[in-house]
Order: sequence, then C-alpha cells, then structure tokens
Amino acid sequence: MTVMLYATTAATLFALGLYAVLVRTGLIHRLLAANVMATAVFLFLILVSAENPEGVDAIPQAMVLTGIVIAVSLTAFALALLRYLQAADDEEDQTGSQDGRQNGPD
Amino acid sequence: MIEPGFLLDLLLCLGLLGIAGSAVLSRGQFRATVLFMVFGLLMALTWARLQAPDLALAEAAIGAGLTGALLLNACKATYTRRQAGEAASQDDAPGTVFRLVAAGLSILLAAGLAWLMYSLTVADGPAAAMARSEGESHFLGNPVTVVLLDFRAYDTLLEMAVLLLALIGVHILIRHYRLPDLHPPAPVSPPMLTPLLTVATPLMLMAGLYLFWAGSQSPGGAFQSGALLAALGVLYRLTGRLVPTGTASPGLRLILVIGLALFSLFACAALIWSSAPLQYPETAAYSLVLLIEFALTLSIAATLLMLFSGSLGLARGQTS
Repeated sequence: MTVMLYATTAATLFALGLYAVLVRTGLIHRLLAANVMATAVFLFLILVSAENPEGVDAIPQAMVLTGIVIAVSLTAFALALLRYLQAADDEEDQTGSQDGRQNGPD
Repeated sequence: MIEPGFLLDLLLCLGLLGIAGSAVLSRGQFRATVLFMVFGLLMALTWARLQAPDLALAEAAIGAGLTGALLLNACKATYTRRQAGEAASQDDAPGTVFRLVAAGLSILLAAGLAWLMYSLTVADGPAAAMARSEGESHFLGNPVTVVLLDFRAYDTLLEMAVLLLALIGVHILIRHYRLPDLHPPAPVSPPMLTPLLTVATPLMLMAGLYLFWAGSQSPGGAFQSGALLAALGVLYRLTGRLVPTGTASPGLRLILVIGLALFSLFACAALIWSSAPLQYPETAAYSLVLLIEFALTLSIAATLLMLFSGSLGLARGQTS
C-alpha cells in the first residue's frame, strides 16, 4: 500500500515537472520543474531500495546522494548562466534604444 | 483502521505533490523559490521515512538549504534589475491548445509510469548481493559510505570532477563579463549580528565536523558535512565577513582542487599495491579513507561557497 502511494507520487511528480517544463516560459520556473523531475527519479530509486525484501539496498542510496550533489551544481551553473543571459539582454536593449534615438528625427 | 505510519506517508505525498505543483506553477519567482525550499524540506522527511537517513541529511543541507540560497540569489538579481528601471520581460505564454495537449500527455505519462512502477518486482541484483555480503565485513560501518568511497568510488571521483567543472563554468562567465556584486556590504551592521555569528560559528563547525567524523560509521559523510560548512561560509559572505575579490588566492585554489587531486592521486597510487585503481591497501585503509574524505569535505564546502558567492575569490572582510 505504501509502495503504491510513493510510486504514484513519483510518477505524478515526474509528469508535473514535465508539464511545467513544457508550458512555463520563465526560465527559473523551468529550472525548478527540471529539479522536480530529478527528485521524482530519486524518489523512485529510493523506493526500490527501501522495498528490497533482502533489506535496504545501499547502492541506489549512494547513487541518489551523488545525484543530489550533481543537481545542485547544475542548478548553480544554470542560475549563473541565467543571470548573464539577463545582463546580455539588458545590454542589447540599451544599445537598441540608443540606436533608435540616433536614427530618429531630432 | 488506518495505521498512523501510513497516514504520515499519505500526508507527506499529498504535501509533496501540492507544494511541488504550486512551486512550478506559481506566478512570482520569489514565491516559487520559497515553495521549492519547503518542497526540499518535505523531501528530507520523505527520505527519512524511506529508511535513507544519509539522504535526509543531504537533502536538508543541500536541497533545502544551499539550493534555496542560490535561488534567492537569482531572485535578488531579478529584483535589483527591475529596480534599475528595466521593464519586467513579459514572456508570451503558450496557447490553450498547447496547454491542453501538454496536460493530456503528462497525465498519460504519469499513468504509464505508475503502472510500470506497480508491476516492478524488486529483488537483489548481482551488484546489490555483492555489496551486501562484502559490506557486512567492511571496515567502514555505514553501507552508503562503503558504496561511495569503496565499491563505487569512480562515481564519487567523477562527481567531484562535475562539481569542479560547474565552478569553472561559472568562473568563465565571471571573467567574460563582470556583473555588480549581489551582496554589497551593508552600511550599518545590525547590533545582534556579531553575537549571532559568535554563537552560530562553533555550533555549525561542530555539527559539520561531526557529520564528517560520523560518516564512516553512521549517517553523515563528506557531502552533508561539506554542505553545512558551505552554509557557514554563506553566512559569512552575506554578513560581509568574507568579501569577493577579483582573483582566487593560491590557498583557495588549493582547497578547491584538493579533493579531486587527492582522490585522483590515490586512484593512480592504488596501482602500486593492487591491480585495479581505487583499491584500498590492506594496512592503514581507514586512515586513508578519513584523509580522502576530509579533503573531499573541504573541496565540496569551498566549491559550493564559491558557486554561491559568484566571484573569483574571497577575502576576509572588515569586521566593524
């Protein structure tokens, strides 16, 4: 019963993340949604580990621990990229508006 | 009659779904960030329920803590940008048809995945059986640490490489285009700040080092400990005790690479006493593990702190 509960949660979280990645246009929200998808995969792996009849399996746990650290480093890199993307956009806007002023009638 | 344990599981699952849904579908960036941090905390509880205390510790420190700090950083960047007079970029939302199609496909996917998961039977594979039988007589008591530092040490080695690579990527961006510092020192420091830090520093240091020390025998380890020490660094960075600099000092560079360097060195050196890399020697294996894990802890803490700081280097600031 508990297994089915967590399995349903993992499946729904994954689909929810995918839906948000598809329909959200804000990049931060997309990043969060991708993180939710990753968490759903982790949840499934740990569920498999916890439901092992022989006892808790340490290998998936170690894999997920590695995964969490990789996810945070990727999130950090993506957020840095995002900030620089915004800065580049701003710069483009400014030069664009200056050009417009120069070309317009005085 | 419903068992209390199942009721807790049910509440956790409903909470996870509700919080995740409102986080990714919410309007504002700040709102989404805070909800995502709550999601991380609920996830930590879920790991504890699923008999994974190592993960619960890591998720609480990394997933809910440091990711949250990084996301709040991004919120602040957007906020300062809007204040500077930049118009908030209005992205054009996709049409209703697209939304409906995406929702339909996602529901189908969820149903398919759930069906697959129900029909899965779990049993020990050859790797799990080996890990179980070998792990019982292993000199490290924590099965997760055994896998991380011995059986699948490759993964940990490459993970350190990924962590360093992410930092190098951020540093390339910083070198390419310098943005204003997100956390300029406040003109007036609140009076309770110094007492708070005086209390928090030894507590966090002790908890972090304890997690490192306990990691070989019980839940804990380099990642949890590194994340906690990085959080202490974030506190110092936010309060102006650490200020960003344009170049990384040699000491900082050393700390950033020492985990990966020492681990790689050990991988090569292992070929002297055995036929495979990353094999521990018969004698002094435990001290070697402690040494490597301590180096990993330092590197992880420094890397996470530098990822948060968004600067090439850090220096001691003036404490008024």
